[in-house]
Amino acid sequence: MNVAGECSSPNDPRYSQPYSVFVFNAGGCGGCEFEVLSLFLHSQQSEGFRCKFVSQPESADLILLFGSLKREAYQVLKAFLLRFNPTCQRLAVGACAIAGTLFKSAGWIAAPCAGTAQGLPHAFDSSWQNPIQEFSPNLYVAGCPPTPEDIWQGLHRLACCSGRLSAEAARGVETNRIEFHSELCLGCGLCQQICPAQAIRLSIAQELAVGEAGSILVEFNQAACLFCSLCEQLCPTGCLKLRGSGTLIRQRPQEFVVRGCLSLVRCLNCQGWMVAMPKDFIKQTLGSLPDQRWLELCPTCRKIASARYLKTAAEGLQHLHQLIQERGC
Amino acid sequence: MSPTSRLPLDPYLPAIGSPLTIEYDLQHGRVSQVRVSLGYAQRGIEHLAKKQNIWQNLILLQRICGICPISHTLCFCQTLESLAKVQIPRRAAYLRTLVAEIERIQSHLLPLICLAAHLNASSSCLRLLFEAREAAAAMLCLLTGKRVNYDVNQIGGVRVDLKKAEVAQTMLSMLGSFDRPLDEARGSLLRHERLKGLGFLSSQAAESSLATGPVARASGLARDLRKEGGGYAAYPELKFQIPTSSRGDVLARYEIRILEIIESIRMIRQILSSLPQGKLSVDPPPLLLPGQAAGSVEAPRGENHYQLTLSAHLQIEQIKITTPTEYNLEALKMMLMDAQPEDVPLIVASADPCYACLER
Repeated sequence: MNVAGECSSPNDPRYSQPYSVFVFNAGGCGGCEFEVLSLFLHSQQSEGFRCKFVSQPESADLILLFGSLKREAYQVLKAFLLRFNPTCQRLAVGACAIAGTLFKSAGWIAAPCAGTAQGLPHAFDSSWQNPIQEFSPNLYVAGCPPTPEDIWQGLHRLACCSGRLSAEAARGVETNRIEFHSELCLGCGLCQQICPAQAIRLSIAQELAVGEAGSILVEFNQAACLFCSLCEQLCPTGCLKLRGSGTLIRQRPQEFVVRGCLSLVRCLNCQGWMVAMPKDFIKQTLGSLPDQRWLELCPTCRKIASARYLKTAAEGLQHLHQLIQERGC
Repeated sequence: MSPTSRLPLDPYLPAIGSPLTIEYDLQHGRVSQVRVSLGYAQRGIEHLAKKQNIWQNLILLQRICGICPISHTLCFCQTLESLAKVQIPRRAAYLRTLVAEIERIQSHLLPLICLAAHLNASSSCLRLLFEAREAAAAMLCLLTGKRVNYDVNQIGGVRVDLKKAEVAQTMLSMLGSFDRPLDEARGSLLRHERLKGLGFLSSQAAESSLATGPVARASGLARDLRKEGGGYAAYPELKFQIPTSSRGDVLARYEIRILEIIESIRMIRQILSSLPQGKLSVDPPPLLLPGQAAGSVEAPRGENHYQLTLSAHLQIEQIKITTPTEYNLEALKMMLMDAQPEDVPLIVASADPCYACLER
C-alpha cells in the first residue's frame, strides 16, 4: 500500500482527531446505509481511531460511496466531486457500487466505480459499458452489504494511506468468502445459470492449456456476488462453499475474483473434449470407483455405451461380472 | 399578500439521510404546499423481475429494501403459494414470522435513532439505541447468517433452520437487551414538549389519504393485516395486540412504534418457546401454476401489496408492487401543512418514509 505521509504514533495529535467521512448514498436498497451507520458504534467503542460523518464535502478526509447510480443522482455526484479536497481518499462500498450486480441490466443504472475496472468486469458482460469514469476509488469493500467490520477496516487502511494511522494499525489479511474445490466440480454450469447477479462465468481458457489438454476456467466475482447461496444450494457435488466470514477489502476490483481451473480430457470413444470426472466425488458417492474406461467417456458416449451394454438384462449382468473379475474384488 | 418562498429539502442531506427531494412553499413562515420529487433511487425492479426466473426473483425482490427485505419476499411467496394452492409446513410459517418480527424491531428502531439525532440527544442515548439495533441485527445473523438482506424465504417454505437449542436460548437472552434502550427513549426522547401536537393527522385525514402502518394506527385506525382477515403465516396462532392512539401527532407515532417493538418481543418469546417440529419446506417442491394473484403482508411500515401474473412458462408476465411509503406519502403531505420550517425534518422522520421501497 502506498503510504503517503509519515506514520503517526498514538501520541500524534492527528491520531486523536476524528476522521471525517462524507457519505454519498447513490441510491440502493439501504442495506449498505445501515452498515455504514453502524460505524458510529464502532467509532464510539474504539480506543484510538475515531470517525465522524460530515455534511460538507470540503471538510471531508474521505468520500464513502455506495449504491447503484442513476442519471439524476450522477449529476449530484458530479457537482459534489468538484468540491472535494484533491487529497481526499475515496472508498467504494457494496456490490452495487463496485459491480452493478442485479441492477445494471436495467439499462440506465451505472455502478459508479466500475469504470476503473477496465478489462475485468463487474458482471462479465462485455456489452455493458459504464458511462462513469470520474470516480476512481482507492479502496473497495465488497459484499451485499459489506460487514461493518470490513468497512471499519477499510477506513483504517485509508487513514493509514493518508498518514493518519500507523501501518501496523491498519494491517489485515485479505480472505475470500467463496471457496471453490475444482477437484469436485463437474463443470455443469448450473451455478452460472442460476446466479442472479451473473457473477459466475465458465469459459474455455486456451491460454491456460497444460500440454495438449485445454481447460475450463471457472471465475467467481466476489465483487458482484450477493451471497444469496443459490449456487451453493443447487451445486450437485458441493464444490462451492460460501463462508460466513471473510475480509473482502481489495485495492483493485480485479482482485475480488476467485478462479478455478477444470482440466479437459479427450473422450476415449469420440475424441471430443470433456471435463475430467471428479474421481473423489464419485468414490464418495458410489463407495468405489467404476471401471476406469467408464470415466474416460464423454456423457454422450457414456449414454450410448450404457444403452449398448444394457441391451438385455442378461448382457448387463454379464458385463457387470466381467467388470468385477477385472478389478479382482 | 406576503411573498411565497420555495425551499427544497434536497437529497443527500444528513437531515433525512435519503436521496429524496421534498420541496415546500412557505407563506407567513408556515408550510403551504408540499411537493415530493423522486427518481434518485429507482432501479427498475418491476422491469427486471420480468426478465428473471422465479428463483432469481426471490433474490431480486429482496433487494428492493434493505430494512424490510423479508416483507417483500414473504409477500411474493405467499402470492405464488396462494396461486399454486400450497399449504406451507407449520415450522416454516413460524420461522417466517420469527424473522419478520425481528425485522420489525430493527426497522422501528431506525426512526428512533433518527429522532435522537434530530433532537441532539446525548451520545449515551444514541449509543444505547444503536446497540439495540445491533442486537436485532445480531439475532438475524444468528438465525440466517446475514445481518441485512438475509435470503430466508423460498416458494413453499424457508431456507434456514433453527437447529440448535442454544441458538434459541441466546436469542431469548438477547431479547432482554431491548428494555433499557426503550426505557431511555421513552424517558428522555419522548419527554420533549416540542413533539406534542406536531404534525397532526386526524383519523379522517388518515382514512382519506389511505395511510397505513404505524402512521394510521397513531391516528386511531386499528389497521393491521396481521389481525385483519384472519392473518397469515403463524400470526393467527400467536397472542398479540395492536396498539393504537388517537392523538395523531409525532409523539404518538413514536409511542406506537415503541409499543409495537414490545409486542414483537412478546411474539418472539412465544415463537421461540413453542416452535413446532416438522419440515422446513413443502416436499416435493410445489408445482407452480400460471394465473393471476394478489397478496398483502404487514411490513414494518404498513401494507405491502403485490399483484402479479404468471405466464404459462412460469415467468412473471406482469407485476405491480405497492409499498407502505407510497400509501403514506399523501398523509405526509397533510402532516406537513402549516408546519414551521424547522419542524419539517422531524415530521418527515416520524412518518418514516423508505425511499428504497418507494422508488424500487
